[in-house]
Parts: sequence; C-alpha cells; structure tokens
Amino acid sequence: MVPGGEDKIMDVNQMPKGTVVTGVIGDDVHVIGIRLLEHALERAGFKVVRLGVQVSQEEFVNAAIETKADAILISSLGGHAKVFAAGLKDKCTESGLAGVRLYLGGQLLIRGMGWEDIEKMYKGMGFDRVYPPETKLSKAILDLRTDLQR
Amino acid sequence: MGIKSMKLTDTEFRQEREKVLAEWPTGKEVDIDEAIEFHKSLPATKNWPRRLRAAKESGETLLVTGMGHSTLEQQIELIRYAQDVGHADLLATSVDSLTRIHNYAGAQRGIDESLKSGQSVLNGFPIVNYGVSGTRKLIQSVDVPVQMRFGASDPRLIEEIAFAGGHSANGADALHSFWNYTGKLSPETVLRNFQYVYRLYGYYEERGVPTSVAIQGLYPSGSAPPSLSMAAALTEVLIAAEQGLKHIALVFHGQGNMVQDVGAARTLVNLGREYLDRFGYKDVETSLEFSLSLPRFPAEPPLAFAMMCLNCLDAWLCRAQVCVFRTTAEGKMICSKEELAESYQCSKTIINLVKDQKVELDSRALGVEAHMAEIETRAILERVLDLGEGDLAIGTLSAIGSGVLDNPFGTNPYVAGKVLGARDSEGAVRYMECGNLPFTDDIIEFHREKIALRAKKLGHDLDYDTIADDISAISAGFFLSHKP
Repeated sequence: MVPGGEDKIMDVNQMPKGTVVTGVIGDDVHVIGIRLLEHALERAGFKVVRLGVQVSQEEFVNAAIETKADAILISSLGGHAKVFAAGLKDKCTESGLAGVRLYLGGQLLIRGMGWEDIEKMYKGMGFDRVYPPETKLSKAILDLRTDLQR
Repeated sequence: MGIKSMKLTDTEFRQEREKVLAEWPTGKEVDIDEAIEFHKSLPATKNWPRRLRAAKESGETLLVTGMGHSTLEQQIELIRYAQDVGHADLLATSVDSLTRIHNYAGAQRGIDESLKSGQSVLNGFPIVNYGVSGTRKLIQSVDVPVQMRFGASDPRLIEEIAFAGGHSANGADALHSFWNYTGKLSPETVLRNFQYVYRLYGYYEERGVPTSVAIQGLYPSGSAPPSLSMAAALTEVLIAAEQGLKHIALVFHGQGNMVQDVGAARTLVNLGREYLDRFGYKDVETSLEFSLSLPRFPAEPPLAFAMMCLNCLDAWLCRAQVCVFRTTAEGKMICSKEELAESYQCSKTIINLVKDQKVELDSRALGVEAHMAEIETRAILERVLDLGEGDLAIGTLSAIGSGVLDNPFGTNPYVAGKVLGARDSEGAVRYMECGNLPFTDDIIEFHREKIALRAKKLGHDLDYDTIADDISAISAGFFLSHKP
C-alpha cells in the first residue's frame, strides 16, 4: 500500500522493465544507499533481487544466472570496492553472462585520483556505469532503462 | 529450533553456559556466584539501575555515550578522563568489531599492535581478551556506573565477562542487533542468543544484583516513523521480561522533530507499562533512554556540537533518565579522550541550563503525535501477538517473515524491507510506504497528507532522491534538503 495511490504508476499487469540483482559487495554493511535504490527500482517497474550485504562475486553471478538478470547493481561504501570488484566481469563472461550490465556506485573515491580517472579505471574493469557519491537515484534508473533498451 | 518465549530452565541455562564459557580461555574465569558477591561489594552509586531510580525520583537526565580504546591502560585513561574532566554521570564500554564477531585472536593482534605503537588500532575495547580480571580493573578505576554499548548477534561470552567484571547495564538487544549487525543469520538464532543473555541478567537480579537492559527496537536513520521502532522494542521487552529481568530501559530513538519525539516517547513509556502489566510483569521497573538516531552525523566539530545540543534538549523534553549523545568525533572516527570530555561537558551544560525550567510544548500538537504513535504501535503489536497465538517469540519471527515487523534499512535478507519513511515539511518522519504494516486507512491517510504538504512546499513529488538528499543534508547541519 502506498499513501497517495502513487503505486498506480506501476501497472501490475505491465511486464517488468527488467530483472536486476542488487547488493553490497565485500566486507561492507552500509545499506542505506542500496535500499533506497531498490525501493526506487521496484517503483519504476523492475524486478529486484536483493542480496543484502557482504555479498561475494560468486553470489552475484549465481543470483544473476538463477534469475536471468539483465543487470547487476553493486554498492560499496567501505572504500574497498577496487579489491572486491576486480575480476567480476571475467567471472560473468565465463558463466555466460557477458551481456549482463554491470553497475557500480557508492564511495568509490580514491585519495589522489580525480573522478574521471576513477571512472576510467572501473570501466576498464568491465563496469558499464560507475557513479560517484551523491548521484541522483533517478539518474541511475534512467541510465538503466536506456541501456536495457539497446 | 522451535524457539518459544519461555524462561530457560536451570538445566538449559547451565548446559549452555558451559559451552559459552569454553569459547575462549578467559571464559573460565567467570564464577557467577563470586561475581554476585563482587557486585554486592560495590557502592550503590556504581549500580546503574539504582542510579537511574534516583534520577527518576529527582527528575534528572543523566548523560552517556559509547567509548572504546584498544588496551586496558588506554581504556582506563579514557574513562577516567571522561569522569574527572568531563564530569560524566555515567560511563560506557564499547566493544570492538572483531570481538563482536568472536575473532578474539584478531583482537589480540590489535592489542599487541596498540601496545607496540602506542596508538589505539581497534575500534573498541576487546573485553573478552582482558577477561573478568581486566574488566574489574576498569570498573574499579571509576566511581560511576558503567554500561555495555554495542550490537552483536551473539554476545553471550561478552556479556558473561562484562557482568562478572562489574558492568550493571547493557545496551545490546536481539532485534536491534538482527536488523543492523547480521549478514545472513536467522532472526531465530539471534533471538535465542539474547534469551540466554536476558536469563543471565535475570540470574543476577534473582540474587540481589540490579541489572538494566536497554531495548532499542530499531535504528530509524531518519526513514522510520517512531511506531516502527516502538513496536519492535515493546515486543522484545516482553520476551526479555520473561527471562527474569527487573529493570528495562525503553530506548526512544529521536529523529529531531521535538514535538514528534516528545509525543511518541511519552507513548512509549505508557505502552511499556501497560503491556508489561498486561502480561504479568508488574514488578519490572522501566526507565527512558533517549538517543538522537540519525543516518549520519556532521563531521565538522561546530555542527557536531550543535547536533549534540539538540540531542540533549530533546532528551530532556522527553523526560528521559538517560540521554545518549554522540561525541563531536562521531561523524569521522573513534574519539580521543579530549573530544570525549568536552562532549560530556557540552552536553551536561545544556542539561544544567534547562533543568530547573518548566517548558511545555504545544499540547494539541503533542497529543496528535502521541496518539498516532499509540494507534500505530498498538496495531503492530497486536498483530504480532495474534501471529504468535500466545507466544511472542513465535509471533516475532512470523512478523519479521511477513513484514509486520519491518525495517527500511535492514542488512539481513530475512528483513522484508517494504516500509519506508520520509521527513515531512517540519522534519517529522512519516510513512511514505507502509509495506505490510497492519494499518487502517485513517493512519495511511494521515501520513499521506503530511508527505503531500512537504511535496507542495518542494514543488514536486517526494521521491527517493528527496530521502537521499535529506540524509546528505545532515552533513551540512539540516534535517531537510532544500535542493530543487
């Protein structure tokens, strides 16, 4: 139930816009960002498979296989994203998930590095979209819609 | 496992204790009967429930915050400084995160490294490694009561050592730990661990040592209206009382709108008494512990000081016996002894400035908040009772499974996570999504109207970006984001 009947935005008979797997990677337990994103994604019509916190690469890959996911959305706030995200793209490709989009957001800043370089680094690691802190949730959802229509 | 809300039998408790105490060598030091005598040898002014009873009678609001450094020497220095320079009424021991997950070997490496470097490398005090004898040195180094402050899914050994060591209050509970400190553990396991902990306190109580347990419900993070936390807290209060507790601190998580906080906190106190009496726990004494519980705290010291002042004022208006405040270092790191002492001094000054005044908030507005908190909390609690068909542990697990007890920001996949709150135009927190909460249309409509008013002021619908922006706004010292 949603106050205001805003849930009408999502027609229950409408096909889901896509299936996404969400979670916080590695040793991290910060959930506020990903939880808000999950609420927003569901409202926007996506089927969301929530994996919660301290999720390993294997868990992301397995969940994406099981649910035939279109994208994996990963959050990291602990500052260890680089360590925990390395090699994920290869694992996806090996598991037949080459077409699954990879998104990364959260506290990705690294001391001494500008955002452009950081974004380039993660894109080099196989991520389709990389978001700095304070990104609007609606921007990520819009990007996702665009990417999945391609 | 088939958990029920029934007092553990002496045999169950004894058999479980043997296993718990065998977990690490210092467990062997725990001799509960000797510990009871140790508690009785301490002056009454060092016993938390006794100190709180005096505060309740005189209308005092006492102050405490979490504090934890890595070695015994550092921790003694820290709490003595808080007492002597900060004039602390109450002190606390925060436990490091390695100890909370039973990595005592890792904690030992942290101690060794801290001794070598002179720095404090752990994020709290590794109480299990120091054992009962070390903990008693800590307790004996100060003149005021000391509380345990931490969250953990299985704190049984920590609690055994802390209480045998002379702590007389505890700030960890099952649901709060479950929502925020577990990855994939079942709520049943966490609840069962805490039934042991509550039985342990009950055991001390039955032998003449007053012990206090603070029950929190959930940490709202600016996105959970008060009733969500209150219903979870009152459910657990009854489960805890069954294990023989006699002193329970009802924790109210304020979110900064003073009318909402004061109205709802009064309801929490009233409902706490009512439900304890209804289930036959008439001899359980309650106190009110207030904490301003925000998703983040400002890192800049002047802003952090301001937040601390609001926290104390809000607690005092709620007539809380205990005000839990965050130090000026909360937004950035573990605090130094100087930051701790000046935070205590600042907090205490706020209380001193207002304590003789009689301030009443607008009674009509307070009445609305108290009423809404009451009907919402009752609706959830009664549904939990129905789900359990007379057993609250069963009811709690079923309610978590079905989202009747819910948390917008739970870390655990067992949490439904269907409910979400947002601040209205005055900064009070309202339900934006009610998930599976058993609310009437009137309740839902009340919240919808409040949120619509904020949307009108903003000039656009309240969405998830607004909630995220509000969270960010706290860093700059605002509850409400004014971003277009």
